[in-house]
Amino acid sequence: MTMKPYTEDQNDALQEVVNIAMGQAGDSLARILGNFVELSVPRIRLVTVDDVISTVTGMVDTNAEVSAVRQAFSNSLRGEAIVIFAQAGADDLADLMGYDTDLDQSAEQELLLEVANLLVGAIINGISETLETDLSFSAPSLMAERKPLDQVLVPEQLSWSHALLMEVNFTVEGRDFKCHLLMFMTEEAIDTLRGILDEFMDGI
Amino acid sequence: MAVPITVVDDSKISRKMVIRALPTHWKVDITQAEHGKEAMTAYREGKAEVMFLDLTMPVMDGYEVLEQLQKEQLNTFVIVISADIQPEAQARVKKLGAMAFIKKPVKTTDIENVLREYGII
Repeated sequence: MTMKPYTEDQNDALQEVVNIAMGQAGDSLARILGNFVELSVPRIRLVTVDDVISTVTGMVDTNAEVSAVRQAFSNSLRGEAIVIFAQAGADDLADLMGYDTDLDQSAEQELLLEVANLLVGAIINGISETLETDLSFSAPSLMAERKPLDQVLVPEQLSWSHALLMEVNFTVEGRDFKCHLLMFMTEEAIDTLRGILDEFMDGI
Repeated sequence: MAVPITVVDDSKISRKMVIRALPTHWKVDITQAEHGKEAMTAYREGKAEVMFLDLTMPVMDGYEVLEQLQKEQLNTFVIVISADIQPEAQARVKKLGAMAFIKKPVKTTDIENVLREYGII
């Protein structure tokens, strides 16, 4: 789909807001990992239920198995955040956080939930503060564990026909750790966000 | 006399945020640059006594600008304005010659404090 939900200025503002929020999430992650975290340039795309899998696999770009954690966000904007960990990165996490590297399955799950919650919390708070709008988020839940990436999202289970996808990723220099944070917002939120972005730009 | 300053960021809204956050009594002549190459052109034309520099940009990023400025004797006061707020990022740009680091979203008080500290205002 080539439909563009936003004007050039609205896109620019959204990109900058996500960039600021990502910086805060990256800083939180760097603190718990005790390492410098490399940040990506946020990618923002409009996806349909038909091309969401190919778009996400193109962004995450791994043949390895992944684990994924989901969290809903709500209030002024509704949507879902998904954090995808490549398996090597998930395995590296325990070591980075100073735990024993042969964690059992439930301890590894706990770690993934904790890191996802930290990132999603920081990015949602960052967006909320920058745009001066109320946002809250749910507790994290594991949506996939050691699965091929194309099996993490099931188009038949999605409740939307198109959505705004915002992607950022975090890597640790010289380590295996890498994770992607995806935020999906559906039709109603896309419209609401347009008004919020206009207000934000008017306020500057 | 107005101080020639250059605001470098690929985001238009971000440049606007910086310009709006400048102290109102500070007399400046503002040039805007969308990436590092434009920033270097402005610098060579004497339009950047003070440079407000973003890090992540296409064509030529902020780190490359700092390196290039060092090669050209760094005759400008660079204030990095970045969303990457990790202490390590701040240390890296200071090592490359940036005088100060301000986190996004930028606030007037942050800019004022830096300009005061170095006697620019």
